[in-house]
Parts: sequence; C-alpha cells; structure tokens
Amino acid sequence: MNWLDYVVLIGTILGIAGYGIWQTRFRTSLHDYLKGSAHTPWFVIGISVMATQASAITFLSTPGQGYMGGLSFVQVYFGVPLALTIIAVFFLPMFQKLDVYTAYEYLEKRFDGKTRSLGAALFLLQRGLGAGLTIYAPAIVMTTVFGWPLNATIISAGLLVIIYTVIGGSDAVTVTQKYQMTIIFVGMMTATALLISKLPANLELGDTLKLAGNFHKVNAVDFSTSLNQRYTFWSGLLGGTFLMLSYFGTDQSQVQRYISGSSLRESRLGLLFNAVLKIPMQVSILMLGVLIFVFYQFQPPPLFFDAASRHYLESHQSDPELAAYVTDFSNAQTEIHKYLNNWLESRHHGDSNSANSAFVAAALEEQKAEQIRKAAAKELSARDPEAKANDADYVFITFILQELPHGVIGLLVAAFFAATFSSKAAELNALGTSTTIDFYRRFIRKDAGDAECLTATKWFTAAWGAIAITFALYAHLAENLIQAVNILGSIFYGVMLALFLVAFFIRSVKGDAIFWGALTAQILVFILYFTLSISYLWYPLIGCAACILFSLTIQQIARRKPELLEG
Amino acid sequence: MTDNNGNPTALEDSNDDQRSLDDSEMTGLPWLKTWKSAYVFVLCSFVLWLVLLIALTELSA
Repeated sequence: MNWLDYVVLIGTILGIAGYGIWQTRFRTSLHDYLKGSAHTPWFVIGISVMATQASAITFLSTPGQGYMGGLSFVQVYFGVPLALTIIAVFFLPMFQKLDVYTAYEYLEKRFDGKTRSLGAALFLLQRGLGAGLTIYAPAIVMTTVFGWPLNATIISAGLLVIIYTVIGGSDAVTVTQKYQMTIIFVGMMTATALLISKLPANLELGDTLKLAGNFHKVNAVDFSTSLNQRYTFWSGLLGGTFLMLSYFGTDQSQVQRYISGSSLRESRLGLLFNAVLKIPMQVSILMLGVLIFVFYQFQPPPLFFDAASRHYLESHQSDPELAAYVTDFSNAQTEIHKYLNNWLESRHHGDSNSANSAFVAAALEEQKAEQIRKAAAKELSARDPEAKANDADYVFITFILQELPHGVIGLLVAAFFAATFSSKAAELNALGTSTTIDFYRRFIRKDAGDAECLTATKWFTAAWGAIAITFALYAHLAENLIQAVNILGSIFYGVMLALFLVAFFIRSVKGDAIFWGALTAQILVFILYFTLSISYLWYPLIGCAACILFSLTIQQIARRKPELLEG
Repeated sequence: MTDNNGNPTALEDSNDDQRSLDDSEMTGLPWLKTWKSAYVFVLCSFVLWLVLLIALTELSA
C-alpha cells in the first residue's frame, strides 16, 4: 500500500464514522436510541439487514471459498428466501404490534420471565463470543499481509466502532451502514471489472465457464443426500432455512435492524429486499473467487496464498528443501499454462479431441501442483507447529495486492473495514440493548427511568465492545473464519428458534415446559456437536426439533402430573 | 395461516390488532400491490436462481 491507498482508506473509514456521529449526536430519547427515529425507509432497512450479516469475513473469505471449492458454498444461502418470507409473515407483525425493543420481550409476554431471560442469555452468549471474531478475522488477515501490528489494529478498529455506536445508537448504525455498503459494492464491482480485464484476451465467457467447470468450480448445486457432505441442496434448503430463520428471526442484531422501520410495510419490504438479493449477491462474490482461480491458470500463483506461510518461505529461501518445493510448483504451473493454452487453441479451432487431451494433461499437472503444495504445507507445519496454511482467507487479498492498482487497493481495504464496522456496530447495538432491556431494567434497577436506561445502554454497549476487543486479542485461527462464525451460531440458534416457533404456533405449551425443554435440547446439541461429524448446518434443525419435542413431552407430563413442574 | 393481506392468523387474538397496523395492507409497490404477490415474487425469484444455478452446474460439467 502506498500513500494514495492510505489516504483512501483512512479518509473513507473516518469520513463515514464522523458523518454517523454528526448525524446522530443529539439522540436523547431511549426509544430513538434503541429503535431509531422511525423514519427509516424500506430500502435503507434492507441495506442495513444486508450490512449486518455481511461482515468483512464475507468479502475476504468467500472469494477464497469460491477459489478453493467453487460455487457450492452458495447452497448455505438457499434457506434465506423462505426464512425471510416466514419472518415477514409471522414474526414481524408480532414484534411491531407489541412495540418491543428486543425479540425476547415477546417471550415474556407469551411464556414467562425466565424463558425471556433464557432466550436473551443464549443470544448474549453466542453473539458475545462471536463478536470477537468479527474484529479478529479481518484484522489477522490485514495485519499478516501488511505487517501492521495486530493488537493495535484490533484496538483502533474496535474503538472507532464503539465510539460512533455508543454516541448515536441504532440510527448511527443504520446511517453508517448505508455508506459502508456503498463503499463495499463499489470496491467489489471495481475488483471484478479489473479482474475480467486481466483475463487472457482470447478467453471468452464460454471458455471461462468451461474451464472453471472442468476443474469442478461451477458445482453450484449438489443433490447428494450424504449427511457428511458439508454443502448440499438439502442441507442448504432444510438446515439453511432453520439457520437463517434462527439468525434473522431471533438474533437481536438483526431484529433490531428491521423493527426500526417506520411501519410494518417498510420493515417487511426491507426483509423481502434481502430475500430476493441475498443469493445473487453470494453467487457474485463466489464467482469472483472462481474468476481468480481461472486467472491463476494463466498467471503463476504463489505456492501459498496464506501470508504467514509466504513470509516463512521468503525468509528461508536458501533452504534447499523448501526451494525445491517452490521450483517444482513453478514448473508444474508452467506446464499447466502451456496445456491450457493448447486447450484454448484447440477449442477455438473446434478440435475437441486435441482439446480434451490438452485438458487432461493440464488436470494431471494441476493434481501434481496440488500434491506439491500439500507436501510443502506439511513440511511447514512440521517445522513450525503454529504454521497452518489457511489459503482461503488470503486468496482475494493476495490478488488485490499483486494485481490491482494503487487507490483501488486502498478502496478495497476500506471496504473490508467498512464491512467489519457495519456488522460490529449492529452487534454492539443489539448486545447493549438486550443487556439493558432484558436484564438491567428487570433485575438490577427495576425503577430505572428512560434517561437512566439510555445511559446504561451506552455503558453496556461500550462494555461489550471492550469484551469483543479482548476476545479478538486472544482469538486463535479456526479452520476457516466464516465457518467458525457460522458453526458457533448453529450451536445456539436451533433452540432460540424453537422458543419463538413454539410461542407462535403451539399454544398448548406453557412457560415451564418450554424452559426445561430448551435447556435439555441445548445440552443435547452440545453433546452431539462433540460426538458427531455431520455438517454444522444440521444443528439448528436438530436443536429446534429437539426443543419442540421436549417441550411438548414435558407439557404432556405436566398435564398428567402437575406437581412435577410445580415442585 | 395468513389472511388476504399476508398477515398471520396463527394467534386468534391478533387479528384486530393486525388491522390497526394502518399501512400494512398494501405493499405500496407499483407492480406487486398485495403482500401475497410480493411473497410469490420472492419464491419465484428463488426458483429462478435455482434453475439458473442447476443449468450452470450441468452446462459447465
């Protein structure tokens, strides 16, 4: 990065944060602070919901998923349209009618106080734990690549988002998210346009898709019924619907975004906006990764995208064993380029036999290159147990730094930070709100007025920000950052969703039955997570089904033997 | 499970309150005037994306 990149980066992130603070500096009413000033139109709500879900991990890591595994990851989002439609029809009118600040207030109105506390506690636990990852994930990638100090980056990014969220509350989150998403979209579209311009001139759209397809990168839909397969149509549609229903319907960081609409109509349209656009958005980001893969079939890719592994190789260039890996990998890549150029030429001349043989030769070289990469990664791990080549998170940033011009680099790094801030601010806003409304005002200061609750919310928001920074400072790299966030959510979301589904649709179940049913189901999910090796997408469904089943059973038992629950 | 405007009727006592949500009856959009048509549009767009992705998977294989 040069001075131009730093000007674009710092100007963008400080400009948006400053504008957010300026616009929302006079929020003195608790209602406005927690739910916004009620003038938010549906388009802005839609952007806000999208920005809350799409963290920096989405834009850094998803292209890497596309590069490594193709489009299959999009199946995770197959549940979004159905889930958001269900929320728009059933959940939203209830939240609007009761004029709640948090989703968990509804649980008290329907069941009892302890069920509300359980729902809010599950939210604070999983969102509080995940909050550290939202900052850590982009920070570790940026600092490894740019050589910035990790702790200083985490602390300064965390403090900036804490400041504007604490000052402006819900409106500050929404106002800044609008501009942050603009920067993200402009950055991603610029990167895609520049990437396409860098593909070989004679590579047509059909060639690109065929090439990516031949390497199994365009495998968007897989109808396999294997439970061990992580991304399939079925796990996406069934498990994904439950995961998304749980996230959008019961996670306060999302609920707070869409209940801030000026009316039911605005909130509903904001949700449906996401129901329509989420899948094409994810396909676009994954396709960017697939195009980067195609690009590196004609340009030499690094042996590792992972910055730490690359730095290790650079600092041990004189080591003959490591140098041999680099040379062998480079030779394999040269062969791949040669065979693929032959494939392209034969394809354009309509010589399918020669094209097939050229591609088979290229695929064999690709396998050879992959074996060299794996052997080198194993060697690196043996030398340094801490080293873990995690290429997926570094593919896009490596491409940006090596191939894009200055100014655009700054814009894209600003986009990653904008995405960090947009999701982080919504999380902190929700954590502060739930802590005040669901716990402080009920258990600590029952007679607290609005002014005191406003001050308390600001302090709790800042405190959760400090906790998130602390977690981020001590976080360790997971297998893949976006998956780590999703896995964490999937463990808790099923039970949280069941609390609401039972509340809405099973009128016979009362407070005690759902409370004990939920606790038992949550314990079961923990046990299954540590004993089974199924895709994490199934856990929301399992947790939800178990909670509903247990609560119905307990309710039946209680009906026959009421003294069991009373005692 | 929903009324003509796409509002839930799962809770019997909620219907009157739903009507009091003044502007919830129409979407206000020029092409999708009722909520039912908006939900159908969402589900159709999903099916369309699914078909396109399946076609992409098959054609590129």
